[in-house]
Amino acid sequence: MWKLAWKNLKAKPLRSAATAFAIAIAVAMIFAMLSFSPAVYDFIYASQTATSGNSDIVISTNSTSDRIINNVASPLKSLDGVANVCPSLTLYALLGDEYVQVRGFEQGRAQELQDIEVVAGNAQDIGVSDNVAISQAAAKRFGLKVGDRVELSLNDNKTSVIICAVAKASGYFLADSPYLFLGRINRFSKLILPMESPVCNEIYIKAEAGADIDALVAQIRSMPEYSAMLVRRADDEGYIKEQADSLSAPVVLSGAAVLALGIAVVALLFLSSESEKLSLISKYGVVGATKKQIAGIFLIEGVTLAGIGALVGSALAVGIFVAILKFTLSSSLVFGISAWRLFAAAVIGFAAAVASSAVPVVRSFKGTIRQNQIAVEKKSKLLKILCPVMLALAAVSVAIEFAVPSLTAVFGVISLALSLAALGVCISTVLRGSAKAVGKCASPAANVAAVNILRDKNFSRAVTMLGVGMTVSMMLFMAWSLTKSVFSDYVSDFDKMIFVTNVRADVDTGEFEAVEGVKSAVKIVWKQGELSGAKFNKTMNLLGSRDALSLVDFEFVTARDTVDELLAGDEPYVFLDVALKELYGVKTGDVLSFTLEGKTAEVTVGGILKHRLFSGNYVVLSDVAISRLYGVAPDTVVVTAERDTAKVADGLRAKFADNNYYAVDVLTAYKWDMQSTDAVFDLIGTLAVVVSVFIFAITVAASLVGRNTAEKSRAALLNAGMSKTSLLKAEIIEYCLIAATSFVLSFAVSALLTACLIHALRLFGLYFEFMYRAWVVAVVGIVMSALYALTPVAFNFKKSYNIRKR
Amino acid sequence: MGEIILKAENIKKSFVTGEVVTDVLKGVDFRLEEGEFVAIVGESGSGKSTLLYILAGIDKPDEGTVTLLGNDIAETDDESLAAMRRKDFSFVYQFDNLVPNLSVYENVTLPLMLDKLKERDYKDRVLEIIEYLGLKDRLASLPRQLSGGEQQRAAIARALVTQPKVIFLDEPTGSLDKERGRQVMELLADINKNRGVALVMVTHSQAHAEYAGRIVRMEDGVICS
Repeated sequence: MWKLAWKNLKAKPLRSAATAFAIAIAVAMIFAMLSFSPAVYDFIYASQTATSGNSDIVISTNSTSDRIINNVASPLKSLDGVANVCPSLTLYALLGDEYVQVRGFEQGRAQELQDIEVVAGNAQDIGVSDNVAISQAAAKRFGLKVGDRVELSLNDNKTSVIICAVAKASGYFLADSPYLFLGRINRFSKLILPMESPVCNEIYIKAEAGADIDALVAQIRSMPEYSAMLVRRADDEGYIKEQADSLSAPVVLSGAAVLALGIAVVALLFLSSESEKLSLISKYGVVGATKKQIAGIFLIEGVTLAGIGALVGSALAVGIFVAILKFTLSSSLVFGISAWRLFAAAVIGFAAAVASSAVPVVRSFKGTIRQNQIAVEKKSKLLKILCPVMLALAAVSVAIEFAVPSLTAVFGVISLALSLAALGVCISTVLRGSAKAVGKCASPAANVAAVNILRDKNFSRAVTMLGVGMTVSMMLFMAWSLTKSVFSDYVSDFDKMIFVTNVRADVDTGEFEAVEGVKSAVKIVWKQGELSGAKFNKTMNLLGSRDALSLVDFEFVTARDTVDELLAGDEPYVFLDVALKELYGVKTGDVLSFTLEGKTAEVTVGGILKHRLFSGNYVVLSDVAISRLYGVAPDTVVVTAERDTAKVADGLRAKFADNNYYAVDVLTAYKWDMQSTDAVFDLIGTLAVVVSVFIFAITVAASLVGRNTAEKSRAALLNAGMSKTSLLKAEIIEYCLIAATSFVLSFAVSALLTACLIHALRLFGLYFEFMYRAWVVAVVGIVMSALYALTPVAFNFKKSYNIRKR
Repeated sequence: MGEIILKAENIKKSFVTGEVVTDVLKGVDFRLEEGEFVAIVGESGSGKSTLLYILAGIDKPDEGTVTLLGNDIAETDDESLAAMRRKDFSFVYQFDNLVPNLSVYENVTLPLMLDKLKERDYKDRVLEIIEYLGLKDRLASLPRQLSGGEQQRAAIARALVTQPKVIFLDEPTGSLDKERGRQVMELLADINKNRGVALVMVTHSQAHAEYAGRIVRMEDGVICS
């Protein structure tokens, strides 16, 4: 059996290679989809903890405390559960005309929170004397190298430092916007004090293993030394998970379709050579091979191809996926490859391949040797029934999805699956209809193409693969477009805003409005808090000001007058995005819990707003109510510029040079967050491209395998007097019909699938209004269709025509 | 009169194409004695090939019974029928008999290999048969490298190596020229005469049918003489 199986594999080396390659691609696709979400989580986790490293608790100054404090770390060291205490001084200084971030640690302690990967210079020198480390990006930006001395300034104070190391964009340097200069506290203290001094504005605490972090946070908050400061957990896993889920949800949903497609194409690929296998099985049968022997031969063949495919696919998956992650997210981060995900992808691909390879064998057992010899393909009655049934089921599901709001999300997923399945089941019927129409043409090539499509099941399989594959690709690109728009579109709202931070609560905003170019200035509490209702618990961005509504261009679901009136009062009314109403049924008058800086208070929903800001995760609450409920005062002034934002920011810095304020335009302040999310968009986009290429490659490979089984028909046509050119035309028509059918149907259902995808995202706590970009799906479809239609020319089919083949 | 090794009674078979039902066999009875050479002749569509396939257990009748070497084929399980194919009877098609990716030697020895016999136990016998059929120099050739006649002789060699009691042949000379057809027929007659193998052969050719000891004529799904 081994010998016969091996002979079969060797007899068609190209087909065997194409099959193993297709399985490998399917495994790689499945792995990429299974690993996407964890990779995004790892990246966001690394990004969010770039500053705090391995610490568990962060203590920082705020508007109600002294903003620069003497080293008050000593009381912490004696607390039970505290393993390490690491003070740090973080400031913004100018290098030339550009703001940079300076961060100081006590001498030699910079690497206690996390490792620094140095590419030039010496990591041991960081923080010694006036040595600093910078990132590769900063070295490039400022043209600096190890040994260079630079002068940093803040207001009238200056300090001089030497570049002792250039580091990779990992650890602290993952948050390298503005560019980070990492050195010694005392050296940087000269930027705010006349002489070097051991001051800090942040304290990082590493707890002992097994310590109760929340209890420790509470204990520190109760200590008088830190009661006026902000004490919080260093990593907010809930927030990181929410962020990661938001960014990856559309791809995860599309990924499920990719997974199903991966399995389906492997199955279709094996079915492409079914008639040839049936004929071979009949030959074995006629000389007395038992069913067990026949099954054994094909099982060995299938297991060999599946095994090679799974192994190559695993290597390909790791290589390509890590390369994509390095290329898009971070070249310095080490992304863990989950062994179980790799194993799962390999097992799924392997099992699908082995099961598919068994299909012709199982079918052959149903027929006689004679039927197998002539490879009788029985017309499937199931398909005739399945097509209308799937269409009806999809229609019912879509109707429920749109008609019953409480079931929209669940039926979004069901409709998505059913619509794709209906497309897969019915597309071959449409192709056959098109072929019948084309067959009416006078051209012999068109007639031959039409007959081939109507008779050879491989064309049905090809159009199913291309059609469904194209639709999945379109969805991936829509997921990319959707995510990008949701997280990027509101940027225009911020381009005239300037954050002035480190201000005291009693600052007079009139002084800011007096600066030239300033349109308005609003004191605000701009922080994150936890909003909880009966059905949800979400990290929200707090816009804490009575004037918050004037900062951003909201739409008002609740009447504007009502909102203004309630916001101006002293009662704790919050104003939330319509997303919460749609997702969790939140309505005006509901009482929710809002936690800010460790304190929880009840708030009443005063009205519903509409904006894409933070994907709907914002809470508007008056600063008066915040002060009363949480004892937190504004420490930020948001300035709106009338014109050139950078110029106005310069004006603010000049005016408040003596006040130690940091004036940064909002887009710069959020530059790091935007870069992080942009990196994730790049990942989604790159994955969409790679998966689409994979889908296309696998479809072409399957088409070529299927085509291989029709050599005799082509030889017969040539024998009958058909010219090679005419035969090539016929094949081009076949491929064009498949491409056109796939494109038309995929394009037609793409809007519906996008709506289903958006509805399904509600299961992930994401609410979006319908958004569809026809040009995105059109471009994807046209490119894939055009390339597929060119296959006969690209692979020089004409060269393979041989009249002697039988 | 020899022992009856094959008996078919009231064999009926229909094919359905779309909504058209064609009765190919309308109640055929057939008997074959040990060592007998029977030729089944008839016009195209008369049902002779279908009868042969049913007699050899390659196709199933809609009605009727086939008893081969004492076994009712319909009642015989797949494993036993496969074992009979490897040991008791063989089948030769008009063409396309050979597994394309196996050499002549591998094709010929395929039933023996499937029977898990050791090569040393059959190699001499196989080589003798291959030499007998004039394929000694083509042992390593693949089917596509053989002429039509050589392919057919390789198929006959494969049918012979299991030392069967019966060989079924469907137009064994149909794809050969006159001379090669004659050679194959002489070979078959020799196999029947000297090796005592019973043959059931379907043919169009009256001349080739004359090699048989008995000729069965079919017309419109029934045996007419």
